[in-house]
Amino acid sequence: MAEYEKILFKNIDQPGQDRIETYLKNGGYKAFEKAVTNMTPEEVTEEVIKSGLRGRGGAGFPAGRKWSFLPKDSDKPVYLTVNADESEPGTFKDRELMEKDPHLVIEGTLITSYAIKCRTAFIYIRAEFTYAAKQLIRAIEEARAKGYIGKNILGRGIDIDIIVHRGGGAYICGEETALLTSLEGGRGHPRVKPPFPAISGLYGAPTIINNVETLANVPHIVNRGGEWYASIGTEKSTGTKIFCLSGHVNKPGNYELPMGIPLRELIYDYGGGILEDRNLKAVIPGGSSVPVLTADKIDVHLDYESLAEAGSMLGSAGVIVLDETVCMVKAALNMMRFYKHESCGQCTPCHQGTYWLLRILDRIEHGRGTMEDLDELIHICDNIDGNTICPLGDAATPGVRSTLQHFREEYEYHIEHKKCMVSMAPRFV
Amino acid sequence: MADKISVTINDQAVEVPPGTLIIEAAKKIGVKIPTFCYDDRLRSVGACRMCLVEVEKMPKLIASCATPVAPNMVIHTESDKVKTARKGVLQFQLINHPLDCPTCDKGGECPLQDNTFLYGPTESDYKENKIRVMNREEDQKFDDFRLGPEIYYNANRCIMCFKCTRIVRDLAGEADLGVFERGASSYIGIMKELDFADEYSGNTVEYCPVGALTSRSFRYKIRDWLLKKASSVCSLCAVGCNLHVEWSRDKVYRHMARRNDEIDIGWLCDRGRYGFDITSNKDRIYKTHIRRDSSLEPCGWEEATAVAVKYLTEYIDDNRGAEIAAVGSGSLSNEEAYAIRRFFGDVVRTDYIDFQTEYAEPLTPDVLDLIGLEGKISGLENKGIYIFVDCDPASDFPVASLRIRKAISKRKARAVFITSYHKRLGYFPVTNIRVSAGSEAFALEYLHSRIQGTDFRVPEGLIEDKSKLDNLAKDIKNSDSVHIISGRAFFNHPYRAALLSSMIKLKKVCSAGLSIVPAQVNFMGVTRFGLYGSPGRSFTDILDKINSGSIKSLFVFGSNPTEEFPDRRYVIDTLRKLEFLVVVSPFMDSLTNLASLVFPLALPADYSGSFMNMEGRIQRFEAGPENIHYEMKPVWAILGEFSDVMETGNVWYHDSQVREEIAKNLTHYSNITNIPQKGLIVGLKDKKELEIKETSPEIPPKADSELPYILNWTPSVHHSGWITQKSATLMNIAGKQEAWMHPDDAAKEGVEAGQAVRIGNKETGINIKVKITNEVNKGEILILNSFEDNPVNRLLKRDEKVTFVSVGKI
Amino acid sequence: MEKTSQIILSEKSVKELRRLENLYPEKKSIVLMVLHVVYDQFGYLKPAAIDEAAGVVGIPPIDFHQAASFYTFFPREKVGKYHIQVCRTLSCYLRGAEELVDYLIEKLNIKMGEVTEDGIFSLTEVECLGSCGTSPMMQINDTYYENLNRAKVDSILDELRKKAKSG
Repeated sequence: MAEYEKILFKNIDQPGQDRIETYLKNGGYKAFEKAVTNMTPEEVTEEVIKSGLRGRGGAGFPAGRKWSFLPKDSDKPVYLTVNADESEPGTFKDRELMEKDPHLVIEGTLITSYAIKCRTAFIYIRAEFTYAAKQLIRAIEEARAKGYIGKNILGRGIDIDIIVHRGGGAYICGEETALLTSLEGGRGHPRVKPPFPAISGLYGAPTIINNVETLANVPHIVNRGGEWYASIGTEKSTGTKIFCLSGHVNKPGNYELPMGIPLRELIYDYGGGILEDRNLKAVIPGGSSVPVLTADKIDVHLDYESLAEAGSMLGSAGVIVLDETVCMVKAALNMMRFYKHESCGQCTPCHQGTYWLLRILDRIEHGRGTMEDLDELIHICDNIDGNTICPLGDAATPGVRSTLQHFREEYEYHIEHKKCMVSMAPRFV
Repeated sequence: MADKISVTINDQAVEVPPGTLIIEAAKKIGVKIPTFCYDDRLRSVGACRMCLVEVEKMPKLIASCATPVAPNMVIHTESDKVKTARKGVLQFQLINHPLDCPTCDKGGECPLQDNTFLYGPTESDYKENKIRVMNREEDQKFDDFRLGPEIYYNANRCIMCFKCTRIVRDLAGEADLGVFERGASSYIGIMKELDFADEYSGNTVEYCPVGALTSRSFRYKIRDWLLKKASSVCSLCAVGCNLHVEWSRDKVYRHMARRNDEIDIGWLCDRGRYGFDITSNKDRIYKTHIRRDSSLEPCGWEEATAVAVKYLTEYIDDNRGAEIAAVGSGSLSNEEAYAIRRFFGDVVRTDYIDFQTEYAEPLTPDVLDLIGLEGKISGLENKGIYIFVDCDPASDFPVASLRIRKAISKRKARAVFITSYHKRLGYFPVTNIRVSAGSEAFALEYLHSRIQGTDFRVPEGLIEDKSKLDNLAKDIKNSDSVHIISGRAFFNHPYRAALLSSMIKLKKVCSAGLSIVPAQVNFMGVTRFGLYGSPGRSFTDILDKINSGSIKSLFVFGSNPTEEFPDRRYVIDTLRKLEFLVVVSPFMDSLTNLASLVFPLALPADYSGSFMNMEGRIQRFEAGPENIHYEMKPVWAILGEFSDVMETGNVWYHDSQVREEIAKNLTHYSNITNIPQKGLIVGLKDKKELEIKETSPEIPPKADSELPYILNWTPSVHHSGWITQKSATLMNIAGKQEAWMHPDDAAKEGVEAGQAVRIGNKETGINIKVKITNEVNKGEILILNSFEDNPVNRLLKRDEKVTFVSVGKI
Repeated sequence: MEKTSQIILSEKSVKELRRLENLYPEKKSIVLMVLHVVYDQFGYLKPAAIDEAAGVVGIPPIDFHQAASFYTFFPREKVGKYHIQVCRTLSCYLRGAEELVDYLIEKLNIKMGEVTEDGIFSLTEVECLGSCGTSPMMQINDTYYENLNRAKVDSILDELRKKAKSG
């Protein structure tokens, strides 16, 4: 098993890492001090651009470039919003970062605030992460006591405050504009873009939204340079990535590995292989919103480009492993139930489409499907895809589409025999 | 930035200003893009996805209602991709939509129906059972849920376009309607036990793109295509919103907006919208009546005319015309006002012609010049500080106040109320500066002194929090735009002269606009076309002269002094002394009870004419229902018939004839014969130069232990006076009469919320339910709404500035 | 509109509301945080408490009720002293979430969405809780219980029941 240098997780299992004393002892807040004393905000942004760091929330947009979209001549305040609304099924990396190394997240937030000249940053954390929220709030108070947060930070005339804002339980608020609507006190309805948040975001002011993992990389980039970071991973997918491994593997969990490592390595070397040595059936490599890969794609490399080429996406790197006993109709139904439940109710194709898809899948699963239903499923997906404000509509369809594409025989079996083709081994013992 | 952007839409080039939405750019060249959730007056949400269009080089279809044009965009609105997407959207919208068009009120005027017909699939692929949300409560029909007294919601028909909630929240700033649940389960709803009945609620029904929201007063009554539409003007306040009177045969079924961007931008308030049924009130008079043996009986028109003419002729022949008086109303048309002046001035030869029946202290000519809006209604969107002095914009000029709300929501303006009870503009942030009843002038004088840096001492206890005025003074100094506005309450204000004097002082020191908005639709018109009674000739003078015996007979046109005048007993006693009382009225009521002769008066829906609104805009309104079976007539037609019999000239057969005569005789209004669609603006007097006698504020008298409370009363948006009381629909919404009491007072009296009490003095009182709230001052009682059977003016005395009352348990 | 008297919100809650009031650049931002305050005090969104909180912070009550029905974290009706939420989304499903639910139903002798007779437990299914690598899992009140098996569930329930009974 190859060993790779850990960056984000370097200190994650050190006892007391969540306390500022330990964090400082391990070199914490050095990057922030370096940034505010030796670098201009523009230089920080430049370094992040150089690093090639791409957004870790799912879309993979280059972080530094995003920052550079902020208007230069706005008289409004600039806001930074940390997207800690981690809700993509199969994803649980930000939670671990926030719970175990909250200061790293705070430091990344502070450096980014400095880079984009933001005085008030918000961490929008999903409601269920009560412990993570407590950790962040405590870390912020610790950092405030040490003078890293507040007024005239480190005597450099910089004011930055961080507010931890707790969500209310809505997957959609992980979408950046829905997050803003929610942060403004509304129901989490996404907004039409343009205008992009960098131009008109929170309270109509220029706003940058970055994922927790993205920001956790920033202190390391400032410390060790963009070029160093860019040397890790692949050419276009730089750095390391936390892969969230779940499902039918022996050792599920978060693994920080360089971008571009083969899927096989992740599942068999790190994940310890499939439970009970069963055969692999399929992998969803980027959270439930991306298309399913069949077992023969086991050698695909885990980076943005390779996965796209293989017909899926890196997404949030929530790698869900399905063994041979999984009924793919049931899996598709499970995913659709999620999207129907989480559709915000704004766009007709999404709220009605997911509802309709769910009803058909439910019928097929319960033995009341027809062959025409299979075409109808695709037809409905066609009518949803690309026709909604936010990507939730587009995220709801890959599960149905790809299972139908690769495992059509299971759907047909369901329709003909009114039951699953395979039955899942019991796991709860 | 370039001032024009050129784009291509369906191969046609078009140039539009930057920021123009694609859907609007398309509209400009006649390309219609279907939509449900888009409204150019509301924030775009892009929710329904019906307006998706293809833009070259863009990977996805985009919502044309939420995307501004960009230079050189090439847009296709009818490509295959677009058509497929539209079909998809429609199919989605219809999956749970009940196909109940035959019984749905929206049928015939339904965007969902129209768009499905134009763009939809003819058959649905949807094979599942439709979900039906049913209302299990008993008193409701079908699947409808009651949201408020007037508006019902059918969740099955709703397509979640969020127009209604945007209207309520963004436009009106109200918080009585919302979206609940999420995703496919979302629905529109209210908070438990809180009715959806804000000032503008009816707009949600009109602009609902399906039949999800319906009006109780209209549903299941008639199909849209059976209705005829008359272009009319609302007659229930001085804004003069344009509307369609929608009618069939002899009945008005509803009012719908007729968009005029100078005035209403297509919105109506609920008073204007739901007051449509005033015309078919049960007390409506359709025939002439004559008093025989002390009771009124129907009689022929000729007989009634003959009796009136005989009476008039005797006096005219005896040169005793001045013993006759005529009283009109601010709700009459310009033509009617003019006709009254011509007939009574020229033919009867009396100067006793007036219309000021709503207040005891008539306006002097210099004050009259101050009435009206300074500037234009459209200017109420401008930035600045709006100071409302004893004024409730939501009730005094509802639709015009939407502009101020908009300015506040865009943070261009702020609103300050100087008031004796809490006022609001929805939930938009406003400042209430509370003063004791009648003491507004002290607040203004103090404000003036703070701006000027002079000294002005306010007696203790008159202003709740002077620091708010200190802050306001600072803000005014930093603002180049201030507007002082008073409304209906100004006319009845106990210390009107002092109030006006202080408003003018403030106006001068900060170059503010000064507006006093009258209550009646055509106050501005009738005062210019003949109904203003100069000093000594006003209605109050007429009452004096009746009492002294020098006026023997009175002709009342369209007003109702017994309901309106702030001393009911006095008016009734006075009118009883008349030898001859002719009442020209739409309704049988407390006034016709005293009449010798009654003529049925047409209401604005029944005839044509013109009004002048608060900004000096003359607008024409057209007749609605056919009333061939009835004998209601406008005043000029009635007086014209008198003239015809008397052979004195002045015979008018059509409203345009009257206007021609006005144009000939009043040069300032020479173009009144040609009123354009958007109305004709006639200049009001410039208020900058106006001088008014300075009057110092006066401390109101203190209450004693016998009558310990000061009485205030106010109409509400749904019930602005005796006319609105004739609308069954409005009464169903307004419904209640309340006495507001401060919690301390309620505790002192041992009164509980909702309890009925008697409010009054030794002689008389009214029974009314109590609402306990600290929105009213301690020691003051505010009565909301006055009704014929429980009239507030029973408690008022014309010569008492302040009315004191006691509260007694029943 | 100012309320003259507080009825059900605790002093601690009101203090927190007052702190929140001026924390954000725009006040309406506190809607969700206010719901958290009500939830923290009552364990669910007691409508009267929402209305009262709305009065304290001066935001229309409907804003809170609209939000309360959109966001699914907060129970809207009274739940058990220990509110069990089982994640049912894909990763948990793959590791036996359905069996976990069946087991809980059997053990607690209630149906999904119900509260036990003694008021100690209530059971509901939820979507992904971000604990996919430690599935199957459940959240009881604010605590995550992960990598569950029958024995673990038994001991968790026993312990909580004991805790509930001892006060």
